[in-house]
Amino acid sequence: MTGAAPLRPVRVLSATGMLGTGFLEASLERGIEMGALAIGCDAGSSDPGPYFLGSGKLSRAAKANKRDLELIVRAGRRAEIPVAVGSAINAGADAQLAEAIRLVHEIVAEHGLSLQLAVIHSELSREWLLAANREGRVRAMPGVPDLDEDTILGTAHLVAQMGPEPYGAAFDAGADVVLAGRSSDAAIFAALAMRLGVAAGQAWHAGKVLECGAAAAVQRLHPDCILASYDDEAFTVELPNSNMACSALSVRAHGYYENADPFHIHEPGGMIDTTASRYEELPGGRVRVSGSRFVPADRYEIRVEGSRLAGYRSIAFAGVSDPILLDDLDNFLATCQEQILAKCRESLSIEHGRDYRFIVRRYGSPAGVQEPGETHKIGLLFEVVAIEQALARAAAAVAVHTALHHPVRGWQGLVSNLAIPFSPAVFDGGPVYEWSVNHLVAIDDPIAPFRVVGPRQVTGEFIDAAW
Amino acid sequence: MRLGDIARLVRSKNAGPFILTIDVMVADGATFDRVVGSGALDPEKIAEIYGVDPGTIVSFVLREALTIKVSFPRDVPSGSLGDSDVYGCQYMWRLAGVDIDDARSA
Repeated sequence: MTGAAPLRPVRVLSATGMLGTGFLEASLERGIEMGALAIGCDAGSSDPGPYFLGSGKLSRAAKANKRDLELIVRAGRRAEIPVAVGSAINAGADAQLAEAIRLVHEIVAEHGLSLQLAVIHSELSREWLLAANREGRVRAMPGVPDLDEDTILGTAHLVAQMGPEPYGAAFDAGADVVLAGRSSDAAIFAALAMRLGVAAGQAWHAGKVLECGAAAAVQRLHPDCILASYDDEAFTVELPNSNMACSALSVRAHGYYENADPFHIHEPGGMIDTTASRYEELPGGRVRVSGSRFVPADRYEIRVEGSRLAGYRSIAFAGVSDPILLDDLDNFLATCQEQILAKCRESLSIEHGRDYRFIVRRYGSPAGVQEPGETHKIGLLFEVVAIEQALARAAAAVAVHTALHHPVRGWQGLVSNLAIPFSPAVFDGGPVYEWSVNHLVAIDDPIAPFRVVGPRQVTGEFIDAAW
Repeated sequence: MRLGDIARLVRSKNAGPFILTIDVMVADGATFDRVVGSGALDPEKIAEIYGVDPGTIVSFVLREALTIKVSFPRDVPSGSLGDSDVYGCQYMWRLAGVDIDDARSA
């Protein structure tokens, strides 16, 4: 780089912490004005639980996702800068990625855009993981049991978090917009920065700050954009929205969020080491971070997530305020549960443990006086998870009806115990999933597990099979 | 005095679906030293109030950030049958309620 004219400062814009949660259009525009050379956005997370990977459904409405995606894609085209959206959408399963591709087709058609789209799949076959397991390339994340073949075979959907390499390949091949399945959050932004010549340590640590959008602010008023500027030794973050600001503490503390170890953050292919990172406040609510390192691992490992069907759920919720019942609540619930299990066996021929599980969660304290504004003194949430939806519904109905008239020690005569807020009392929750895989898999090629489709021009209607 | 009354922030969240991480953030060095000195965040105390094996607790005492971070495996993985807190965000109440003047475990 010696002897060359100074290049434009390298800047990467993060649109928001989670696609679909919104950002101010003015903040995105300001970030572009400030010289963003790329726009990234994280569109997924495992935080909302195993349901989304298991079912392939979306947690945020298509409309909300589209609003954000439309602004990002249009801004990228106007400024002629690359756009990367990762973990699109939610869990990054193929069915959810297809939704993101469909939205881009709509956006292109509605606004007459011209763009080269590349799509990167992150969904893996069970056979892929079985082979990795047999070859001894799999190890469990902390707190997770080791993998066995039955667990793999019983998993509904598997995805792996990709690193920056598949993004790099897609952009190198001429993509304007990359929609990727499950990704390391930071990798989305590390990929954009490293393509612009930024060193790995800064690119990765900045990625970790950028991926949550304005969450690194002292006080995040609402989801919003954040911009990173990179020089030879450091990166500087700032919020395009001047109503919010970062501090050295807020940026440092943001690195603690959702990480067990704030100094060593494991990523595909290595680890972000922040032990020597220094956080310096600059005027204008900006923070300059230097000293961050990326330490490549001996073996490139990717984190694989999997979710399996655990049954079907039905619930009912009711309030209780009867002080005589509440004086004896533990005994009431214990004896009531015995009746429920017996009735399910008699009337439905189902066994607790084998065919269904029944759980009661209590909310509120039975002791003390009911306060104004409390709907009822305590809440009881009845839950049944069963091998079939119809059985779950039937067992939940048995639970409600049994509890409704279960005798109360201290009252003589037929009682009715539950303040049920709705008709019907029982709600079907549909299929229930559990995390079955949360393991690291050693691979030789960082791109091979992730099928890159395109880049190609987006025209006409979205055809799933074409992507 | 409860830890929650003296801290700027006590928060809990999942670090992945199987691990819970708790951050305790205070406003100044004196409060930091008082909180650390109380024993409320010692692994033995965390083990006691959360019912976890002390050997599974990972702690960071970060004076420069005025933060103490403790992490341990969740009793139930996020979203599993019997879970009551998918995001892990309301586990913090036990720690926030600890009396820091009387925190040393028996």
